[in-house]
Amino acid sequence: MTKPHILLLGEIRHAKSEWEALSDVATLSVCDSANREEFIKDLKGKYSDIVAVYRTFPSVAITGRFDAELLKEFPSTFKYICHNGAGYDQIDVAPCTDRGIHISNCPSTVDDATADVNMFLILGALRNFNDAMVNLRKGNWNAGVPLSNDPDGKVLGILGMGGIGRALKKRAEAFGMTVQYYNRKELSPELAAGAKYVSFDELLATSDVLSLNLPLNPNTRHTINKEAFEKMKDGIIIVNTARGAVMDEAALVDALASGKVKNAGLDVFEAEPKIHPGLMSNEKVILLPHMGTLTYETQKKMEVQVLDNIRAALTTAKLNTIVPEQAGLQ
Amino acid sequence: MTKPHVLLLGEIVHAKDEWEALSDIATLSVCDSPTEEDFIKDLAGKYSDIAAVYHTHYSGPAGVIDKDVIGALPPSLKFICHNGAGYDMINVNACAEKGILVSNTPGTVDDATADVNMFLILGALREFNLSMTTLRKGNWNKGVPLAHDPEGKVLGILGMGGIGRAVKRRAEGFGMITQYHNRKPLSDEMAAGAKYVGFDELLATSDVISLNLPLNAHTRHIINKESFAKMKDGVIITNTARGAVIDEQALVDALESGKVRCAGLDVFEAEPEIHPGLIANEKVILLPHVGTRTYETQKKMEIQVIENVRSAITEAKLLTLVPEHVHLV
Repeated sequence: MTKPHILLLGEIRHAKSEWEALSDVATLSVCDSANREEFIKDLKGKYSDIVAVYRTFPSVAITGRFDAELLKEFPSTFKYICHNGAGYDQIDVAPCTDRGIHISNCPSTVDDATADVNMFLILGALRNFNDAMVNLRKGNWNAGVPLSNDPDGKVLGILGMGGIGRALKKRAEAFGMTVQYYNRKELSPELAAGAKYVSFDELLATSDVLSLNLPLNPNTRHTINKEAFEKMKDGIIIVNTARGAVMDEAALVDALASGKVKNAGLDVFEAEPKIHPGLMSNEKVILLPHMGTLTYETQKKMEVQVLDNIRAALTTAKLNTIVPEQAGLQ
Repeated sequence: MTKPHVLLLGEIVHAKDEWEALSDIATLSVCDSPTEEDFIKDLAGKYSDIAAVYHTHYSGPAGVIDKDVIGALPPSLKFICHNGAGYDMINVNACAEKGILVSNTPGTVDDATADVNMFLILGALREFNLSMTTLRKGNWNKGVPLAHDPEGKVLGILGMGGIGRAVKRRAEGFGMITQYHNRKPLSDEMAAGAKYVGFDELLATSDVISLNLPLNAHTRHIINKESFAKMKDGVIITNTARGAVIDEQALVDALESGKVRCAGLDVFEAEPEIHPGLIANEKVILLPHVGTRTYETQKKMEIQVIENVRSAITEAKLLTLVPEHVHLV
């Protein structure tokens, strides 16, 4: 009996031997299609019997988004999209579900590295460190750099209390912050570990620092918008390591200009790699270019998690970390 | 009976009410001598009866309290209450010889300084300065290499005082394992699980070395060319203590060779001057001595100094004597 055919979309950098090891249960191909058009042709040709795909975040540059238009070109043999990343907004889940295609992502392996970035940005924004670093690099030491604020005793509001949100809570508490959260559903006391569950509006109104840790999907796009900013405390700090588009970037720029938002720390942007000029020209905000999980250790863990999902799919017909929207399907 | 005379050297910004409240037990003056020379004269004139000084490390007269200043201090002066954890700008030995006791501000500085230290540890491990700079140049994350997680890494704390212990608590939130070297091992309670190691072992086995020790004659250039040679390849160095505990040239050399993969610094040997080799390095993350520069912490520190002054005047004792003077009382 021939082994199932699986396709790599993108690169594997760290877990190459684990990828090769899959050849005991599968035939491995590395996608060499130059663009979306060619990929669609290849799905009818050399990839017309694929069962599963390992896809990476950057591979969207070749294939485009996994939307209904692309998904209908996949062969009937195709069952599994194993995505390398926690956020999988590049994939439209509904058409996958309609076609019996199951998706896995990378929860948990991303938690620590992303929460580390998140805490770095919270400190950087509260303490105005970008201003200070830029001033130093210009040769002006700390001349004109105003006093800032301590995290100790401040209320951190976490929007989205999944693995990353909870990892962030642990870090923030080491700095003396008090944590409250809003989530689709309240967590068990064990998982919440002392964090107070509040409504979305109360989170906005009573947090000194608001951290965005929720997935991007049609329901969450522009969750933080002009109306949301109006409900917040004056001088609030905003931090985002989730997806740029959960926040209306232009509204953030306005809120910074008015002083409603005292400072912001961002690792993600609505139209990245493009960044709103109002942010680029602001020396107080602390900005990172989507560095969330970009470490050797975490990248390897994520690659292995994707490969484990593929192996599980092929050998047990079940994914290890199926996306929440499809949890009921297996 | 006239109230004792207390002199302010520098400015009080946040605790003005608390300063004014001292007038119930003291006559308060703010030093207005235009130059150091004028100040020395005034010490024999209008300040010749001062009993205590509220001292800041400012750019005015006696910002640095050296032997010359100490020699000119009147015999009535018994207490110098310094605003700052580091007091290397005060010659505490010469003060002791003249019967003058000095207090600093331990404790109040711990959290804010440890926050800076942890920011620098993250920034250096993750090489964030390079990615922030690349973004600001309009190049997103182009060419930015992968970096490293703090999780599971060994953090070596040199100097396990209040700040060092505050750094440990933060680092553990990121999954780091802490070991430390200190003048003396701490009690189990204070060490809270951190392993005490010898200085050489700290150098040889730490993935990240964080400097949290005071600057004095023993600790100047404690991190030098020989120390770097003992460290792991690719070590991370952070410093929020005093620049001169590190030989800055040796650090630049170690960064160049790759012995030190990255560094995070809030203090520099000759600040505000910074070694050009550091400025030219886009990976290192550099802050201009912002350790305690928050509204909340600045106020707490000012109040701590004022409380030391009050205790000095009303009870002839300081609340937070510098370690070198503890044996004198």
